[in-house]
Amino acid sequence: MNNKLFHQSELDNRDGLSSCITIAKEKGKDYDILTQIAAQIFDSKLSLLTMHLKQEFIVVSQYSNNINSQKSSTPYCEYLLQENMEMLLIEDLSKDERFQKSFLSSNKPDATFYIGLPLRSEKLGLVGTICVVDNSAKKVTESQIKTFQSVALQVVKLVELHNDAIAIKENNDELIKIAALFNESQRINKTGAWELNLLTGLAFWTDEVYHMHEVPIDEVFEKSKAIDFYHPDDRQIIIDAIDKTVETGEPFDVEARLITAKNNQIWVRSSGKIWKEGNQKVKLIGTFQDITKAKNAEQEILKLLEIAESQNKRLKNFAYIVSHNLRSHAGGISTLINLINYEYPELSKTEFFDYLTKSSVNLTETINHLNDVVQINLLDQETLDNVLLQPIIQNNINSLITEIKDNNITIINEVQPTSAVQAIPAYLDSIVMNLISNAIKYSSKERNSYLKIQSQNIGDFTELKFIDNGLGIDLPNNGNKLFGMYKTFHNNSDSRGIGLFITKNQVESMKGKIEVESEVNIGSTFKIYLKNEKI
Amino acid sequence: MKKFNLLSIIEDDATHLFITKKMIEMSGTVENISVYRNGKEAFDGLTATYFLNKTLPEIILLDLNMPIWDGWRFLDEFTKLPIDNKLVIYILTSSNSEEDKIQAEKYNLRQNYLIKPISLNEIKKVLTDLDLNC
Repeated sequence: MNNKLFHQSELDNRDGLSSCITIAKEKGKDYDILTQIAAQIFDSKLSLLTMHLKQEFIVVSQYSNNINSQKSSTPYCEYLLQENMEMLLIEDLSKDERFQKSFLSSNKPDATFYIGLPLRSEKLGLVGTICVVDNSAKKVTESQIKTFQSVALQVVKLVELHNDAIAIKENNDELIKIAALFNESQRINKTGAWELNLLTGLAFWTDEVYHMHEVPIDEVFEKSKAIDFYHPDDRQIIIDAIDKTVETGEPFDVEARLITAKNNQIWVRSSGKIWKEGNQKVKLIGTFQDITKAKNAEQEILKLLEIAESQNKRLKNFAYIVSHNLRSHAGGISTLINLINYEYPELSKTEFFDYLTKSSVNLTETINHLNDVVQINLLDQETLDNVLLQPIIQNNINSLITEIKDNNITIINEVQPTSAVQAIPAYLDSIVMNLISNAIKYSSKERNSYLKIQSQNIGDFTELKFIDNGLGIDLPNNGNKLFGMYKTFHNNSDSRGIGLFITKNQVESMKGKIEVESEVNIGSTFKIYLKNEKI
Repeated sequence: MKKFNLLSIIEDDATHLFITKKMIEMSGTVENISVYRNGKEAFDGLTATYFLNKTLPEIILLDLNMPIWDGWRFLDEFTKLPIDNKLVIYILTSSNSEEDKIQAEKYNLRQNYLIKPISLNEIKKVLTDLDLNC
């Protein structure tokens, strides 16, 4: 078929007629009476209604009596459209000069008589053609043509009608699809939508709103009474919110408890705003969301917070008992012992008195440690300051200079002069003092001892390393106890097993951490991580 | 004649009272000691002494944690009295908590804050160094 058969402008118009295939497939029978009438007007054997879509001919309806091939008519219909004619009438092909030498001569059709009209719609443009064909020549009257033209008009009207119906159905299908997606997304998000007509008091709910209320979707009930579903203690919240929105036009967004039809309690978030038509406040529209999970999680967190607070309170009470009562009693005992010693010297020479004194000293010391630990744990973290590492380390080296010399240990301070961390100066001082004195205390007498102190930046933290070549610790056997209270691993007389415990507590109270690597008789490395200075 | 005529101890705990009294005696700087067992008793007693024009103590050793009125309450009420006499108050408490020390600052007693048990040397030093005339 010739590709340039139709005028381009008409082709463009006809893109709108995408429904013609549907019409041909489903609605063809509706046109049969019209094609039959067309054939009868001219007392002919064949009548054909075709639609043209993207240069294709689609037969919509065909009335035939013996002549059964559309082939006999199609070339004329093509010609009709190609020449943009209002009508093509061939009363007797053999005498028609137009077709003697044309493309038809080499492709001689069966038809002798042909009359065809283009089908033009104002809305849809060129739709197709309707034609009548016979194998004997005919004389056609003016009135026959008029009747044929009105049949063609009827066809166009019917096409327009069908086209509208199909468009509506397509829109409807699209709406059904969107509604299904909408419902699905509401179901997944546990969010529904609602509207309340302020004039009639009638409410509309989406499916999900029904689900949340645990009410069957087909159940009919007074929806404006939806308020009654709210928990009695929360009803006023929603009533006030709606009243305020209606009055001021400001949207509302509230959370409240709801008792479902099946008597389950859920938490919902309801938000709504005014919908105006013209200047009139017509409706409230809004969303409705099940937030039970989030609410429960929130309650759970609140509960945990409460527990943490009450534990903290108990710790404070404990701290108070330690710092006041225990200290006071232990102090009383030790002072009384001193007084007895002073007033009854002969009594103090007994072995009993000796042990009593030792126990009393230990008791006081234990209470002091306990007090330190409790105080560290009660620390408010807001109080961290920026502290330069270098001076603190140098000061501690200076104040331990006698011990350093006595133990013949070399201290190498390689801390960056600019390294600064967030810390409590007194704690940092105590940590550094403890780690340096540990290195001195547990240095090996069999080699030239050293302690290297280094610092480096690791992300948000500064790592402060204390590397020694001392006695080391048997980590596989003692690692988990290393930072425990009253753990000692050496037979030094001044090991009290409290230092590392306090150090760890102090480091952690400053949001830092402490790690250790150690090997027996090779040495230990303690690593302290503290947050970089605040800038 | 000893250095001070009268020292008052306000203390509810019998053991500490015994210890403090003993220490004061041993320091040999105080002639007489009066004892009150809580803040309220001390306030009532000292107020009566004041209004009857009897002898007020030159030194008060005040415990903090006591029943009825604690040390702070005693300070609140006692400092309202229009006393002209030279009178020095020392807090003598077993509390070494920062909170209490900061509280003491408010009564201008941060320098007069002693922690129990106090040693004989400490109490001697306090009483020897104390000069009511400066």
